[in-house]
Amino acid sequence: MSLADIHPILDVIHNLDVGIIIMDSERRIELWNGFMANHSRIEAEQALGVSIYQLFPELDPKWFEQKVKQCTIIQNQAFVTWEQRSYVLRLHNDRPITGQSDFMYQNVTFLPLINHKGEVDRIGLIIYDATALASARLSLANQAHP
Amino acid sequence: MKILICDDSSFARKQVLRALPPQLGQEIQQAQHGEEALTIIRRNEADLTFLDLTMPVMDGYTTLEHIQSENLNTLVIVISADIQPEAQQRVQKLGAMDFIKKPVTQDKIIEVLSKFGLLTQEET
Amino acid sequence: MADQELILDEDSRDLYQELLNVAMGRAADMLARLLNTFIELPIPKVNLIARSELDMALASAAGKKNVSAVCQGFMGDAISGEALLLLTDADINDLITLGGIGDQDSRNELELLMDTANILIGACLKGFSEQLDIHLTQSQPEVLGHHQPIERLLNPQTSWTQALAIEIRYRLENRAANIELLLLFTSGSLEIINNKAQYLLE
Repeated sequence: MSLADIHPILDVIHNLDVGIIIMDSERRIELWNGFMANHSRIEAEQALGVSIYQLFPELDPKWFEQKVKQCTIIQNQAFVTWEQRSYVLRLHNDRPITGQSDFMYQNVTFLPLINHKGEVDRIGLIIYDATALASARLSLANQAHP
Repeated sequence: MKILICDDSSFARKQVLRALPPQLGQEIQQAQHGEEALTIIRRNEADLTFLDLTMPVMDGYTTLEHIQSENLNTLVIVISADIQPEAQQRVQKLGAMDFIKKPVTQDKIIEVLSKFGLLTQEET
Repeated sequence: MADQELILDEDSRDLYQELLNVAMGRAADMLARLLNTFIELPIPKVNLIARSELDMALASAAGKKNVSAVCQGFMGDAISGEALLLLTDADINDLITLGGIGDQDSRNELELLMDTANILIGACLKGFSEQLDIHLTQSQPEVLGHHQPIERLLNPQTSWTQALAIEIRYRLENRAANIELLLLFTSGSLEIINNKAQYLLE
């Protein structure tokens, strides 16, 4: 792929309605797309090179490292659903006015990124907004058990 | 050298057959589970046995116990998908010479056979 | 779309059994490391099943008390299917008492269920696809039995009639817990898997 081909791809990544993060082995941010900037209110320039734990002080390193370990050991994606944990990173909701929660419910995929030596040296995170689904499911559950 | 390949899967036996270095010769028998293997081993028809662990009728662990308790004359290399370290320790305690992870490759078989000097005399 | 009636010959059954045997061996090794216990490897059961049979199997699982399930689709290289992990509450409690997985403070049943699913489904699919040199992408998993009844699985709006089912029942040594993993492949996947596997014997 030539350098010229990378620009449209980056453009798409930055405009995706899904959060994309790439971290190095020290969990420092290497890629932070537009979705992340918009919903965290942290611009890419401020996020790049900074540890995810510094950006999200309430993120429990023990828990997070456990998930990272899971996906690096099996060299396969690992998944966290909003049902087990409402969110991995506290982000702002899409609908600040009419939304039903203060934060974004998330489904998160941990992606092991493998280098040319076949080792996992980076981790990708894909963050899906599950707020609509979660709100609908939770309000159904509330109606069933008032 | 008389060879025995014991695995319940014919696909797995074919994979081992394909991976055997030609220097080992053509005297190769196959068995589908431990009991069939023991019949062949008791007749002294297997100098070297490639043994799977997870099999119906009689599994690899029980087969190894018989080989040990009956003092049967065969060298055993376990070829198994069960790659838990404890599985490897168990079979080595039961007298297996070595352990090869599935899927098996020719390089790995050659490496193990060379380690135990089973290839050198015939290679020359 | 009406599927052609499928037949599972002995060679194919043997092939799937062995491919899964290798894949689940890998998965068991990882689970054993996380739980600090020895996992007994079963022989995978391979069968063609009709839709009605799957419905019956799921209904019977749902009929038992407090079953949780994680269901996850996968696809790639024209192969597709779904993985289903089934655990009773008793099994989950058994796994919790084993400890060894992660941070006990943040531990909950759902977390354990998802961790087990990530490892068993992920490692199994990874082991399977690596042998065939294919790449499978997994969808987001869905948890059933907690907020949703398992019966929800019984009436999907899809038109399949037959699938290949591979059933793997992991047992923990000296424990009552059984972890049941069901891999379902669409009928269209089978020919592709067979063709890819031929390369392994050349």
